[in-house]
Amino acid sequence: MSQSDTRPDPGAAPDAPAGVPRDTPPGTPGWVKMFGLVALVLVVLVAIIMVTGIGGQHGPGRHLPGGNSSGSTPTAKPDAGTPTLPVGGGIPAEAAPVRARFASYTVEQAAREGYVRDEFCLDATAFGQSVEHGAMGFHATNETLLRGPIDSNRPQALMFDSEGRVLGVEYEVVADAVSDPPSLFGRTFGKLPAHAGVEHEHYALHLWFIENPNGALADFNPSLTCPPGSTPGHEPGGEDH
Amino acid sequence: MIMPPGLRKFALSIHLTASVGWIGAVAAYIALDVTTAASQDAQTVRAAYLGMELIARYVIVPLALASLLTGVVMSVGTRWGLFRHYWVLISLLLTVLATVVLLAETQTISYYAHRAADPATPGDELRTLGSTLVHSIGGTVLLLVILVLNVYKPQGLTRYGWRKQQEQQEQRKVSQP
Repeated sequence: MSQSDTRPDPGAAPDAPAGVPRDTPPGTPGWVKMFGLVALVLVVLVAIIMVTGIGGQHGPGRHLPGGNSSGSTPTAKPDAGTPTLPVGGGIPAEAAPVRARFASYTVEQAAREGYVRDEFCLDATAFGQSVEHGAMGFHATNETLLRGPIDSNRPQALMFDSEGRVLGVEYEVVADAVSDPPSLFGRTFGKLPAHAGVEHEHYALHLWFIENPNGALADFNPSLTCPPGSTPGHEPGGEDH
Repeated sequence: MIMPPGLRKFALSIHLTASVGWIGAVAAYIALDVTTAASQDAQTVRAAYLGMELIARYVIVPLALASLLTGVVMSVGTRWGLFRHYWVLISLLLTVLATVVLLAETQTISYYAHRAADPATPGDELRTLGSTLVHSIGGTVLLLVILVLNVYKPQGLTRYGWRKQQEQQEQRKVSQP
């Protein structure tokens, strides 16, 4: 707002257009209308970008710890796309930095770091178990890490809901790459069979950022169900491998 | 209250320094911002993020606040007024918008710098951490628009400005013998 002195301060009627009666307010100048039109278009564009999520998650809190989690009370049985994601408790203290770093990741941001999101959602049925055991969500796996090392800051996979929000992370290593089951956060990895998305038997440990009644390190979250039609069915993997 | 000429020139000098300095500081910031987006060298990216936060926090933000504050002072302290002319009003709105977005974006910049300052942050993460180019380039365009508005001062009274002008003319008539 530089009011430079190159022009004199406005005098009696510096802006009164010729031919306009003095008792009539001047109309809005054309350049202001044009300005408003451009501003309106920009606002609509920004709104579209923010609503559709094109260009990734937006807002100043997008990189802050827990910036992508909702503290809302859980409803009865949300699926992996329910907008209210209860923030998980019981996370081991040493896992807090992991959550701080990854909780606000977007699918696009994960992809830039090599995590490729599956098209399907995994639930207990993919492991030959009852659907009542719950689900894991949509995995985004960095396959270059599947033979280790196990590093708390570099999980092998991120788990997303159908809205692209991070549910938690998974550490895993194919079974033939290690002599013994690894441990992390004081918990020894469990052995999981090959399943859709992972072709080999592997050791895995899940770390849930959202509330999990079975604990923050359980394989499945019984509070979650996969959206209808999103599971891989009886596709590759399963117990046949 | 209309400022006397000497005070007005002094205030104008501060306002111009802050406003043009803001643009210059953003230009320096963009150089680092481009580096974080384009460089593959982890140490260069790490240094750039740290520099970005220093420039943003200790140069750009103070200049933005100073520009906004002195702009308001210049408006209310001269006959231009704050709401009388469209170019002043639009400049004010755009400056407020730029300042608000800047303050919000500072959180993101601080996060990047925090990650970059951590020696444990791997180079791969640094190279993919992200940049603020969209905001910094968009902000520059906004500042240049404000600059052009202030240089050209396109004509156009708001309704409020027109009413005030009418009142002043009436007072002038009354006060004349």
